[in-house]
Amino acid sequence: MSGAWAIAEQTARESYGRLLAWLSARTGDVAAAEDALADAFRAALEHWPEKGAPKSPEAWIITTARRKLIDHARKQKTRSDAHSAVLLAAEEAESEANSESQFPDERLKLMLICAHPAIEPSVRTPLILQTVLGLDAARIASAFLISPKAMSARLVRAKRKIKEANIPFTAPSLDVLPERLSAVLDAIYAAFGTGWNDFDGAEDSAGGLTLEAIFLAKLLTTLSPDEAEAWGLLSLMLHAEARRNARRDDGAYVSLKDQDTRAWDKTLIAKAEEALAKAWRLDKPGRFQIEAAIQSAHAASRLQDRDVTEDVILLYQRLIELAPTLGAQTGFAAALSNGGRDEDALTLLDGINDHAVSSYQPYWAVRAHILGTLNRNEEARGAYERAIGLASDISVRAFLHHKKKAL
Amino acid sequence: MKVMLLANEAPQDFALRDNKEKFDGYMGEWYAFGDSLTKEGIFLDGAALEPPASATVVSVRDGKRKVEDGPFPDAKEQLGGFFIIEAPNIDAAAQWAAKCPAAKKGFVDVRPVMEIEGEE
Repeated sequence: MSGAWAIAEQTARESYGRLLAWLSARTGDVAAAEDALADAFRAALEHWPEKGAPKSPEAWIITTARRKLIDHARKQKTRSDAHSAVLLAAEEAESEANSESQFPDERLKLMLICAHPAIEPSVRTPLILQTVLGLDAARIASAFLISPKAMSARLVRAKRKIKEANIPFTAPSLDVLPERLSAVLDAIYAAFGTGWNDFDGAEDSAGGLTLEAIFLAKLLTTLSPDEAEAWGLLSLMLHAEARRNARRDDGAYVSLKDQDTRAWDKTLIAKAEEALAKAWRLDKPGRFQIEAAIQSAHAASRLQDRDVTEDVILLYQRLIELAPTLGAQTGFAAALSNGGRDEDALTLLDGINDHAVSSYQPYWAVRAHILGTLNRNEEARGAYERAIGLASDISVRAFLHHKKKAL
Repeated sequence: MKVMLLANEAPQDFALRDNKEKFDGYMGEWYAFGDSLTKEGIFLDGAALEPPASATVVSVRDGKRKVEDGPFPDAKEQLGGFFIIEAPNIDAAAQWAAKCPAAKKGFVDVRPVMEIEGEE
């Protein structure tokens, strides 16, 4: 009994994304495929405990879901084309599913569809999390700080768009593929958190779905192994994840230079380095690879006691050429300050022309530090107050308070 | 699938229609676009519309008919014409939309035509 349940659960956990991608690719309708898959799993939980789990659980689920899709198509009165298309696809599905338990992995196509330019950018990440990983709307909503109802509505709208606009489940042409893959990478990085910061007193990754994001990046490197930026993103996130435990001591914020490196996960660091090496070998530099290289330099500075100040400055320079984001410019300023070039750092910060600055917490934390170093204490206090006001993490606030007092 | 391309033209493009010297060049681009759709065998229908100032807006509220001059501001993109084409998917339709003369200064709305069973 419990064995059948366990098998159903395992099939769902390991194969959900592949099953959904495969069904969606054959119908062009993600929502209908989701419903059919859910019905099939429900049926499995009814039948398997009684009759025992089938030899190939995936094939059983696919066949059952296919029948559900046919039922669904028959009830659909408005779309004659879709009707016959689904029937045809379903027939094909049956023969493929029966002949072998292995079926082609369409998850890359599914991810590319979720990050299609016709899909609103802010819903791409939630869509990937739901379709590829099977996360429910409530879980995704909590990570993105919006209500489950609103998240649910946005996901439904996006899936409707896929079907009605007829977004194709075919591999995009080579000229648009890089752009589309880059949208997928952005969506995965957004799942990781609000961005990873290596400078003191800067908040990061609050409430992110870090393990899910790492899983997706790993998946992408498997499905598209020649994509250097996928390896770069994986490396960046692994470096960040490796230091997670060392970033807090009894709940208190610990800056990078004071972290206990014994608490760093060396296995993850090794994997991060391996991923970065793979990326470099492909000889297609990009922002995620540079960001990973910055984290790699930081790791080396502590583990091998190397002075990486100038390396980090050069890497940030390169990063800004590739992607002049607010985070990159703030990081560059922090790196310059670290190299004793506080005047240059302040000029850089003053020159940022982006209204997002006013609510960007890391900017104010870095600005406060630089002003403090330049002995402009009054202004530094103001900047610290602003950074504290914008910080939502209590330990980051305490850290900044402490620095403000020490001025 | 049938897709409607709604060509929203920029004010400066609409202005070309009244420009004696540039009118032929302006229309030429549209004819060329229409011809390319026909040549591809995907042209189903299409028409150019008189400029927004010619619009009359009709509505019925509480059974009462209201007829007004179209309140279309001159400073914005406005519908200037449309095409209905046959396309396999949104990517193909978007490729054609990008070739539409309105896309350069205005924009093109790409809308799938609703399919209703029993209709051809």
